[in-house]
Amino acid sequence: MGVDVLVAGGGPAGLAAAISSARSGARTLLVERHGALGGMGTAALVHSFCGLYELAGDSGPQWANPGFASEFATRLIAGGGSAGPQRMGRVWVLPHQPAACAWLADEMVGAAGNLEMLLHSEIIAVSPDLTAVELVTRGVRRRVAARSVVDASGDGEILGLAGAAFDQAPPEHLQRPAFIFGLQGVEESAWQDDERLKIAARIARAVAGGGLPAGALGASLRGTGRGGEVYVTIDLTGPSDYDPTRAADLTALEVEGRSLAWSLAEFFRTSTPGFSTSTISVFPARVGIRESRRVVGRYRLETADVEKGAQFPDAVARATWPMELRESNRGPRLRFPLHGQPADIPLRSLRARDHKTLFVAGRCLSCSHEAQASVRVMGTCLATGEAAGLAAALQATGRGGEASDVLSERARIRRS
Amino acid sequence: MCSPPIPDLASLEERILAAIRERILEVPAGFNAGSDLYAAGLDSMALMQLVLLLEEGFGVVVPDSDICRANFQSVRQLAHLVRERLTLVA
Ligand SMILES: Cc1cc2nc3c(=O)[nH]c(=O)nc-3n(C[C@H](O)[C@H](O)[C@H](O)COP(=O)(O)OP(=O)(O)OC[C@H]3O[C@@H](n4cnc5c(N)ncnc54)[C@H](O)[C@@H]3O)c2cc1C
Repeated sequence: MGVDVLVAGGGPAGLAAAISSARSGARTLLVERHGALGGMGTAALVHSFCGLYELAGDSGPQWANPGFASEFATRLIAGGGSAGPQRMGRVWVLPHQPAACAWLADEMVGAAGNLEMLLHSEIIAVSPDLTAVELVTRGVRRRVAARSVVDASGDGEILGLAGAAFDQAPPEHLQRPAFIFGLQGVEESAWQDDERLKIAARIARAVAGGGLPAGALGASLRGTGRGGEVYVTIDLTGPSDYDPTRAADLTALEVEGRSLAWSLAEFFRTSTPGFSTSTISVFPARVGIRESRRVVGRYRLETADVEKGAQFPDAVARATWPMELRESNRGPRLRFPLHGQPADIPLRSLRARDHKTLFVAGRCLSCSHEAQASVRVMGTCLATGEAAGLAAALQATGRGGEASDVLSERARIRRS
Repeated sequence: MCSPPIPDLASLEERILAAIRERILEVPAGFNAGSDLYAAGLDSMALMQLVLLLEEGFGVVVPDSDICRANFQSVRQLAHLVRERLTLVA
């Protein structure tokens, strides 16, 4: 089997890349390890899209990346998967139902011609020149030839398999992983306004008094407004030599996350007003990873670029989310651009330095550790995925592949 | 035995600012006693860790009824809260 474009991973970046590539006319294969698309936005229960909108101003929410990102968000709302954007201080976010992300991605994949999606399939090997990729499903291997490859695996897995150059922040700086779970049966008034602070105070006191493990201090709550449902996000510390690509570390994080979730759920039920009938409704399919490998690309988007709102001649997307640093489990530190100006993401940051046919999108694109804290958000991943998918498609089918070609192809698809 | 003198607001603010810098979070440039703690990135849990530090450091207890956003808006507000509790204890 041979395709023009093979997309590795069906998270926000990969689903945008695959659908955009197929719409552009390239024969496209999307390969995803899990049974559903959406990446962290489905499997890890991340439940809001950041980076879809410009920084908040006097008018309402404005699209940061009109194109696939705005189309996906609009359809998510229309399909009942989101109640619409919410303003939080200087930013707008779009809270969503993780299940809706998976459903909508299926719909859009189904409607795009030229696109085959293989779920429950994992890429386990690549040829040295990246012209072929090997997948495995339930003990059966399969080889696929591809003219272009988009690494949208989040963890830069193609980079790892191909021996391509990448960076990874030292363990103490990597953004913390997190375990998100759902509770149901919570009284609506129980987590609102000052009650949330009081819950935090109870957790902190219980930790200080030995009634809860210290890891519970990483917890924060967000109600969804849907029938007494609350998501609890527990930022985890991980081992001192934390490496999100190491099996033992991922295993330990899953176990620790579930253990903390179980203790917290019991604590809420027995000692928090409004939670007496609450129960765990859902565990994530996997622990949430915010940062791991970043490709060494043709241009590295620097911290100063995001701070200053840099502009590039080969811009294909824009990063409007502040740098959200989560290097400890004590909540985020937000660093806003100095002049409120969003940064361009150049196409060179979506291309591997050493492999002509390898494109990279999403949270593993070419950038500094701090810049990744801005571009990793899912709204921006949709936009970098779209751009990488179009560039890969255009190159694979001999129709150029420069930034200007990507922009005109994007405009053509939007008109049709 | 007489209790130690109650520190004035300015020195309380200094000590709380130092506790935040050292134990809670790297604060942005220009951050001072009047700055908004939420805007600086302290979420509910970070705020509560701070409350525990204050309780330990100053030997006061902040009752549940005083735990509300308004009391945690800034270091200045926190200093007031601590001083009020200290006055009650003395
Ligand atoms: C706890 C947490 C909270 C967050 N909160 C927010 C938030 O509120 N708002 C926001 O916008 N962002 C948030 N983020 C960030 C955001 O979720 C991620 O950065 C984003 O999902 C990255 O998208 P991606 O497509 O690059 O990768 P991922 O979402 O990681 O998706 C990668 C996909 O590739 C698949 N894959 C990987 N390797 C292979 C392989 N070899 N073969 C087959 N399939 C493979 C994976 O199974 C996965 O589905 C959060 C992240 C975490 C962890």
